[in-house]
Amino acid sequence: MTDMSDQRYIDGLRRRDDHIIAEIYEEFSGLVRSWVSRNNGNTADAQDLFQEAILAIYDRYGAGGASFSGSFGGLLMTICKRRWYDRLKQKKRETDVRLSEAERYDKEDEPWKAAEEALAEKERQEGLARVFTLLSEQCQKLLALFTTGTTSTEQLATELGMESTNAVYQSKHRCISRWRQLYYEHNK
Amino acid sequence: MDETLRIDRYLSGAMTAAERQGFERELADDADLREQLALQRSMQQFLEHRNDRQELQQKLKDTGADYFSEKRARSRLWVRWAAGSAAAAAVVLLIVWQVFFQPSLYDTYADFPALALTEKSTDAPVDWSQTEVAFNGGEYATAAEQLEQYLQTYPDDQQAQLYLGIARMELGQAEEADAVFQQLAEEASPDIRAYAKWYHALNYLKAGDEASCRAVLEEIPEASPFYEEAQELLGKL
Repeated sequence: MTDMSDQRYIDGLRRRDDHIIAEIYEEFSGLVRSWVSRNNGNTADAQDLFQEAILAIYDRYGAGGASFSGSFGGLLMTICKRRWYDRLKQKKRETDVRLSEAERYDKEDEPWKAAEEALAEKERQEGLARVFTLLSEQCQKLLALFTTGTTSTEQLATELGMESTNAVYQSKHRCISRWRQLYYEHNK
Repeated sequence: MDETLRIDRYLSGAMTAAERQGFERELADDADLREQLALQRSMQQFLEHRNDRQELQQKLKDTGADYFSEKRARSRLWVRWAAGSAAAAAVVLLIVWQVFFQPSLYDTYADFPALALTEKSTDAPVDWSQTEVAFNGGEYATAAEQLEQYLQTYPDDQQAQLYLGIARMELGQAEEADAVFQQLAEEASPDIRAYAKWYHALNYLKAGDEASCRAVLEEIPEASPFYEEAQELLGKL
């Protein structure tokens, strides 16, 4: 079960609460830094990993609202370690990294799976952001207006110069299809 | 097949109950459809939260710069051995120390988050920032004395109890530290419990009792943020 204080961290991230953010750094940055330094990394590497891990947790469990049952600190450390192994592999420094340690993870393990899901959501969010600006201005505007939920479809039709609400829905679906196509073209 | 329309109806709750059940049955068998649903859900999340995410990212950048600055990353040995010396001399001393002396296993693993009491007790009549300065600067005798006082006012503050344990451990008062860690490892909230367990093991390590250290390390569960450290240390013992 997620401890109350662990849920508090996730809720705090969702709210972008300054105190909770500071508390997370206070509590866990030392652990990440010392682990990275023992695994051939420096302080800047640790800072990057930490930020990346918090964003991944936000994407999946904060904004994403997926349920999480486990320790926040455990998840944070697992994401950092998982990303660090990836980076070292990319740099072809396999000899430097204790891959045996990575392999010791059970891939069906709860923290490992939770970390994988968080990183996958983060990649999707960043992939979608990269291609969103390639959509037409009309599409960007329409999708943004749809999401705010404050404008009725009739108002949207007027604002976007469309004849009917049906045309608005059709445009929305065309924009989503185009966005998906761009996503796959640029991210696979 | 482009399922944008159906997925949109599913995500916006516009489907009838029967339609929804049918869609969910299809999802169970169709990996492509599941992937399209996941992506479209992520699109919705992106549109709803992109400004919030940018704000969070900026905050993380700012906070990270503070917590990961070189000043914060100082070695504990640096503090203990070089405090009070001129900065240049201290740097030389640090290099000499690291090159010529191997730190003990205890020193390799003993890394404590900074103490923060004032954040929690803004209405306190006493200035606890002095306690923080003492602890964070390695003045453990002063810190222990003041933490005792603090705990008289806030006896249930488990974090303060934990730091008192650390101060006792650093002062070589192994028995007193042991009592604190043991109690917290059994009774505290799960987060504090994880810390207490880890420091309990380090306390044995510092006192030279490797067998007890090993026994406590073996009890640290995989879910603990200290699991990797514990396994690594077990390997070295």
